[in-house]
Amino acid sequence: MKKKTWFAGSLAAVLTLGVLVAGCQSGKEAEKPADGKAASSQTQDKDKPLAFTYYNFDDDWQPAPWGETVTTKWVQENKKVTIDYVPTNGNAKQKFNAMYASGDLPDVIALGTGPELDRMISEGQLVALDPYLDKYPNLKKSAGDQIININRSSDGKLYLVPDWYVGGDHLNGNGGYAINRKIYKEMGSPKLETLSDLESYLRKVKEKYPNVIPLEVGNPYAIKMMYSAFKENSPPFYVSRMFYQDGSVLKPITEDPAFKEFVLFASRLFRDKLMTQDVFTQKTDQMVEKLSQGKVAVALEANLSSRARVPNSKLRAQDPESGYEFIWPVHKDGLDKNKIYPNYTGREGGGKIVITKKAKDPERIFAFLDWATSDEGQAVLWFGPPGFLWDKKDENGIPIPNDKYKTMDKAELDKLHISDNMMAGNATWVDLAKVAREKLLPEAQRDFQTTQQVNVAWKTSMDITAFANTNPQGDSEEGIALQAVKDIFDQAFAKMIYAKSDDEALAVLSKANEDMKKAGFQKVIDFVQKKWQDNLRKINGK
Amino acid sequence: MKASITTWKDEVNWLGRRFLRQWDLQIMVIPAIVLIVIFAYIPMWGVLMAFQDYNPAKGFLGSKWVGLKHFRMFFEAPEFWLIMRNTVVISLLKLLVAFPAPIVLALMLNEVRHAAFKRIVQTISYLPHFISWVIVSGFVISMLSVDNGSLNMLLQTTGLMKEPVNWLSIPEYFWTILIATGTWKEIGFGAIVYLAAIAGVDPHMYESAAIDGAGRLRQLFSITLPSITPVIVIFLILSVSQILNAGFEEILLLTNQGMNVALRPVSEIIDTYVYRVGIENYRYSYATAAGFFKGIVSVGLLVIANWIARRLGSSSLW
Repeated sequence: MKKKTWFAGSLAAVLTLGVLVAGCQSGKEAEKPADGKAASSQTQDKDKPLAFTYYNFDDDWQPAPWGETVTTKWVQENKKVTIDYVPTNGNAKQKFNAMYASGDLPDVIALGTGPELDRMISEGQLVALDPYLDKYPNLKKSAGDQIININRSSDGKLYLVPDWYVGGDHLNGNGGYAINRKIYKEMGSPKLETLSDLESYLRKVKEKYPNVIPLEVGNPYAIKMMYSAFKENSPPFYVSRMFYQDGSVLKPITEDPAFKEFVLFASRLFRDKLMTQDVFTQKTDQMVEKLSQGKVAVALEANLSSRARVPNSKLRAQDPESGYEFIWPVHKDGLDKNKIYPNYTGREGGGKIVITKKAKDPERIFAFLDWATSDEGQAVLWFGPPGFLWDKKDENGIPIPNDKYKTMDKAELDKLHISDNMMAGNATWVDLAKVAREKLLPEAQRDFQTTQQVNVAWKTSMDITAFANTNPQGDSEEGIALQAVKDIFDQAFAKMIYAKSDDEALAVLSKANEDMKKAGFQKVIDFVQKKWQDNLRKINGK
Repeated sequence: MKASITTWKDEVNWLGRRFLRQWDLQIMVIPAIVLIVIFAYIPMWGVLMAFQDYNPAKGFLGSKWVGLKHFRMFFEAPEFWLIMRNTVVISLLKLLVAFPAPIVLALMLNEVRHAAFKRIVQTISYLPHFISWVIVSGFVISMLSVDNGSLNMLLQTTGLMKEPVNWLSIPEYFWTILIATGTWKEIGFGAIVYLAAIAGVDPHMYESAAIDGAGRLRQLFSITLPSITPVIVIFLILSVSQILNAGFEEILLLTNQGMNVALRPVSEIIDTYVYRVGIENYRYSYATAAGFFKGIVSVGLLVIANWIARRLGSSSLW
C-alpha cells in the first residue's frame, strides 16, 4: 500500500514537472537572445559553423531538411552553414502571427508581399543590412541598384534580401490562355486573336462538345486576367488592387470604362455557360483534374504553365496530337496585341528575406545569403554542387549539364531534391539557366512549363515594380478602410459574374462604386498614389 | 453522545485532517491544476489586448490603453448584425437539427433486434467523426460542383433535372448544406453516449410495462426517454453554451477559405470574421475584442440555460 502511494506521488511529480516544462518553454526561449546579442560581436570566426532558424512564409514550400540532400550537404561541408527550417504547420500566416505575438521570432524569415515587412520595420524588429552591402558585394552585383533601392524602407535603409527578384530586361510570368490542341484542330484551327474570335470559338465548342468546358478559369482571379484584353498596359494587378492608372493619377477601377466592358463580357460568358460554373467554389485540384481529362477547350489561369504541365504530358502520352499549348493573349479589336499583359512582374522580388534581431550573428547570416544569391550560390542551390550534375559553366556563368544529368532518369532526379533549398533566388538567372538547359534537349523532351514561358508568358508580363510595397498596414486607418472596400468589391465581383442580365451586372457595379466610396476608398487610393510616386522617384534615382 | 453542532473551527480541522489523510490523491490532482492554470488562466490575461492598441513589440506594458474603442468599432461595423444573425441562426439550426438527431438514431438503434445489423450501422455512422473537416469539405465541394459533381450527375441521369445546379453558389442552400454535413459527420458518434444511457435503463421497467400492456412506442416515450432525460439535459446545456460557436472550421472550409464570397452574407460568423478581418490583418486588439464579446455572451447563455434546467426540475451543471 505504502509503495503504491509513493509510486502515485512520484508519478504526479513527474507529470507536474512535465507540464511546467511544456508550458514555460516559450518563456525560456525568449530569454536566449539577451546573451546571444552580447556574443554576436565576438563571433567573427568564419570557420565556426553557423546555424540559424529560417521560416518561410509559404505553405506550399516544403523543402527537404537541411543536410539531407546532395546540395545542402555540400553547403554544410563547404560553407559551414546549417539551416533549421521552422515549419508553417499548414497555415503560414497564423503561425507567423503566433510567433510574432509571443515574441518568439526565428532568426531569418522569408516574407511574402503582405504588410508584415513594414510592421516589423516600424517596430524595430529587423536588422538593417546597409553596413554589409559593400563588404559582401554579390547582392549589389546580381540585383543592381534599382532593385535594392525599391526595397529600401521609408527611412532609407535596406532591411531585406530580395527573393526571386528579376534583374535586367527579363520579366517573369506563368499565366495565360492555353488551348486544347486536339479540340482546336478538330474545330478547324480558327483564328484566336481578338475577344470576339475567342467568344465565337467558345460558343462553337459548346455546341459541338456539350461535355467540354469551353473556357476553364481555375479561380476568380483568372477571370480578372481577362481585363488585360480590354485595354493596353493594363494587367490584372489593377483589378486585384481595385484601381487603374489614368495618366499619373490612380482612380477606382469601378469607374474605368474598360473594366465595365470587361464585366459585361465576363458575365456574359458565365451566364451562357461558356465559362467554368464552379469558378468561385472549386479547388485547384478540381481544375487540374478537368485539364487531365481533356475536358477543357481553352484554359486561363495565373499559374497555368505549371498547372497544365502534368495534364499536358498525360494527354500527349495517350495521343501526341492532344495536350495544351499557350496562345498569345487575346485583345479587344483595335488594340496593340504587344501591349496586352495578363501577367505582371515586380522586379523587387516576391519574397523578402529578413534577418530579425533575434539572430546572434546577423553579419554571417547576411554573408551566407549574399553568397546564395551570387551566380555561384545560385548554381549550387539550383543545380547541385559542382562535379555532380555539372562540371563547367558557359560564358553567362550558367552550369552546363554533364553526361550524368543527361542520362539520368527524370523520376530519379526528382527524388534527389536538388533545388529544394533554393533561396534568395535571382529569377533572371534561374530563367536563363532553365532556357539554356532546355536548349540542349530535343524539342519533344523539352519541359512544357519552360516552353510556354519562353514562347508567351514571359513576353506578356508587365513591369509593375513602381507599385512595390504600396499596401497600407492592416490596422491603420487606410488598412481598415481597404478591408471594408475589398469585402464590398469581392462580393460585388461575384454578383456581377453571377448576374442574370447585363442590366443587373451594371447595377451591381454602380452600387459597388458608391459603397466603396462610402467605405473610404479615396483615402486608400491617396495612400497608394503617394507611395507609388515615391517609388517612381526611387526608381529614377531619387 | 456529543452535540452534533459543529463550529467553523471544527469544520476546518476536519477538512485539514481529511486533506492530510488523502495527500497522495491530492498530489495527483496537482498536474491538472497546473495544466489549467498555465493553459487556461494565464493566457486569459491576453484579453487585456482588447482594451489596448496592442503592439507585440511593445507588449502589454508599452501598448496604449484605449478603453472600449475596439468593442465600439466591432458593434458599429456594418457587418455586425449580419454576423450576429448568421452566428445565432446557424447555432439554433444546429441545436434544432444536429442536437436531437443522435438521440433519434440511438432510439432507433435501440429498437433494432438484429445485433449484427445494429453494430454495422453503429460503426458506419460513427466513422465520419474521425474524418477531418478538410477532407469532408473536399468531398462536399466536389460532390456539389457543376463539373464532375456527383449530385448533379445523379439528378441529371435520373432525369430529375435538366441543367446542373451550382449548389454552393446559392446562398439560400448554404445553411442546409452546412447543417446536413455536420449532422452526417457527428450523428453516429453522438449516438454512442445516448446508447450507453439507454443501456443503463433497468430492464425490469420494460418487463412490467409489457405486462401492463404497453406497446413499443408507449415504452419508448414513457420509459426510455424519461430515463435518459438527465443525460439529454446536460448535453443540451453544454451545447447552449456553444451557441456562438457556429463552427469556424467547417464554415471556413466549405466556403473555400472564404474565397466563395457569394456565400459570405449567410456564412460569415463571429469566428470567421475575427479570423479574416482581425487576425489576417494583424488587428490583434480588434480580434480579441470580438472574441471576448463572444465569450461573455456564451457564459451568459450557459448560466441562463442552467437556471432554466434547474427551474424545470431536471439535473443541472451546478
